[in-house]
Amino acid sequence: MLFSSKEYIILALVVIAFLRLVRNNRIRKLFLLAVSYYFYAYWDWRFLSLILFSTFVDYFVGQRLKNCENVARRRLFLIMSLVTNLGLLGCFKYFNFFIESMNIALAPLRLNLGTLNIILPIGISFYTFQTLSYTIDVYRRQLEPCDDFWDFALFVSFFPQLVAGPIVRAKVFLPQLDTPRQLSWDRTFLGIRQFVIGLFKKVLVADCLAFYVDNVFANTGAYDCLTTWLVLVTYSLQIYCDFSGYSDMAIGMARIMGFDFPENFRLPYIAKSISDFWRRWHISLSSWLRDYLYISLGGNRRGRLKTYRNLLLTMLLGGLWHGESWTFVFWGGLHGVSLAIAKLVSRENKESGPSGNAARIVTGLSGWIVTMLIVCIGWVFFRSQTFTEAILMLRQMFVPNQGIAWYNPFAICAIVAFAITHAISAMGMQRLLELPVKAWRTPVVLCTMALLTCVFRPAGFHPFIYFQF
Amino acid sequence: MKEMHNKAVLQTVFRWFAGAGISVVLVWGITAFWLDSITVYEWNSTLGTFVIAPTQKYVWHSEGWAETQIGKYGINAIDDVTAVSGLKVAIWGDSFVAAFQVPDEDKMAQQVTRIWNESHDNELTAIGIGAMGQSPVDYYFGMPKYKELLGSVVAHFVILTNVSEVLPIPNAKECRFVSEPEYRFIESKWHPRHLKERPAVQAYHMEFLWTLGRELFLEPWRFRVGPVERDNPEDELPYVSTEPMAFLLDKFKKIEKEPIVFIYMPSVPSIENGAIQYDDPDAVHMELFAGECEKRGFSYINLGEKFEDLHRRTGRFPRGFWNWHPFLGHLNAHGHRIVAEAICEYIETYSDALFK
Repeated sequence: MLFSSKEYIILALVVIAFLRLVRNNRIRKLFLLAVSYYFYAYWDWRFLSLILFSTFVDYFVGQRLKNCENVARRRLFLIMSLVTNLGLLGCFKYFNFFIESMNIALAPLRLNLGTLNIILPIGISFYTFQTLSYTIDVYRRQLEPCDDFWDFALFVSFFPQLVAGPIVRAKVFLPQLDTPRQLSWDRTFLGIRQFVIGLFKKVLVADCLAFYVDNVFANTGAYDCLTTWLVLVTYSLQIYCDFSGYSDMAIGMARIMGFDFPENFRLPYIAKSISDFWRRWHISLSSWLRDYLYISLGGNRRGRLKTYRNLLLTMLLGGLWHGESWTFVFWGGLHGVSLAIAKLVSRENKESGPSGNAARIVTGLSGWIVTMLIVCIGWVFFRSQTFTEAILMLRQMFVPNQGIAWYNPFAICAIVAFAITHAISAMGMQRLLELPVKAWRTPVVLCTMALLTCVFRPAGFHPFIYFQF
Repeated sequence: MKEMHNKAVLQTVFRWFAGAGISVVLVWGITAFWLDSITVYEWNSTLGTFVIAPTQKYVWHSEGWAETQIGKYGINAIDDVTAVSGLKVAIWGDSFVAAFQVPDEDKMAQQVTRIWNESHDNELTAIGIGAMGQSPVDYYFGMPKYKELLGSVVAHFVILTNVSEVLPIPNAKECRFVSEPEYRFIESKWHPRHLKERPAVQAYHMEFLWTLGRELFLEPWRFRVGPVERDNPEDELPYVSTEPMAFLLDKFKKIEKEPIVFIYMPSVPSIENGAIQYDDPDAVHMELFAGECEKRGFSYINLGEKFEDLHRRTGRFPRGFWNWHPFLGHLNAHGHRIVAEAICEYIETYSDALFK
């Protein structure tokens, strides 16, 4: 069920009405669990079994870790959780990827292992990371295990963030289940505001841009240099609006129901360095990778070289998390290398950093340009199906050619509007863009956004880009 | 205290109602400029069918950017076809002939009229008779009716865009060509919905409300759990053979003595995997149709080479618009020009026989 579908709006209204009418926290939670399972089954009921299996295993592991003091046994339980969750993820998401890679390697020997027709269960990457965060936190004794199985099941399957994040950690979510959530009108308004803004970004901006982006990427090499650049910037905007739109809707919906989710995007395209970008883009994933992978690998505690190695490894695996393709791995690697270089440069800058306003502005601007260039080139690999396609795209961008010119007016308008709003925020004037509860303009802007979204919604099925991950 | 609280609640409610009202007005203004016009139909007793109501300015902004003046009997860009004197040719087709995407002066019929009359003394008027979703079966039923209306028509040109137009359509419901239990044409009993509401929607530019209503009430709802089996029989190409083509042509032969010329507009040039393609994927099948036309004395024109030539010479495509897609979709003014020139060329070649 898509957040942007009318069925979802009905479901949301039913949920809100129920939560308003029923005060008993236990009944509320069980109702939310039932709705969450229905929400997932709406796509394919058969894959509920995977969520349930994951839930049982991690609940069991959490309970066992609770009273276990033996280090080896604790480690064994942790491994059990890791093997189960990553095993499921590996089977359903990466089996064919590894087999295909093996087939390429075995091709000189004329061996082919074949592939399987496996359906990727929606949201598996997200809920796997979510449950892993629980087990690892319990293992590290940073979190008390959850005693109530139904609370834990709700944590794993809570529908606003189930299929595409944000990845909400157990220590953020579980304490919120202990007390009945407050459903004030102010919270409801804030939730609706965020939901409408997300809906607008996803449906009116991202889905309308998809037509342009998809058509150009389907025929990489046919378009001229300027068109290719334009479509790359358009894709950068599309993926941002698609994913941050989803996050906004998820956070907004949770807020209406009385839950607080952490922010997932913080104007990533105004980042002045690549590390700044990762503090602003898909924050729940980047912080997850930092806390559970980078730090587990040793972080920056074992010398410079190992720090760079850890950064690279983390980003490579982060790239692979996005999808079963070497282009994603390359995308992760590109960001990993850039992060390592940025770390090296910032270390040297600390010793001889710029002084004076003008120098700081120049440094900031050049940092922003370099960052955007890396991010945009990264998106080429992220969006392309193959390396050949990505290289062709890069050639079209950097080698002047006589391709077709297609400057989509909607894309240009969207980019300009987006640039203006970001510039306003970057200059510290975000108050101009805010929609306070009591301002007269707020209902006008929100209702207009909602109406325009409904009217100009493109025909056809437009799932969220991150559903495939 | 309670009074103050009540006042605040009232203020909030008022603010939201007022905001919603203002936003409706805003959206009304925005969409009046951007959305395509709704089609207003009226019953035409002479033709025995529903046609687009005359005198409306039909605005099309989603693909191309144009206004079309609807004339009497639902004919585009001609006020009253019955008042047209002199020689006439009829151009039959679907939305490619209705051509809402291009201004009236660029539509193929108007270009034929202009090109011909600029260089010939004998005045000729081309009349485009086209509506979205129509097929040769509609033209078959329409020809006798329009003949009464138009008087002498020296030739008919039927625009085809793909091979499925000359084949039976599986699961046919309306005015269609069916193959079961035998080949036959079924005349449409089509009745547009919401006839009364459409004029008001169009007059007050309230297409946005129409779109919202359609989304809410006409699109199906689904609440049952998945997975959902998706099948789309319309995407399947019917079995291609010459038998139905022959049946279709024989039917046309029986109703019309004047020449009928089939003009095929392939979807070329197109782009596949980043490279320009001039090869028409339907070419083999359309050759079969061309062969059947030849056997029965129908003329057949394939515009593939002309479309290719346009692109090779100028880099332009016959289809596509600046606000849609650069090479897909409906014909643009260049495409209409090529069709018009082909029609003029045909008339020129056979003028002795046509104008006898």
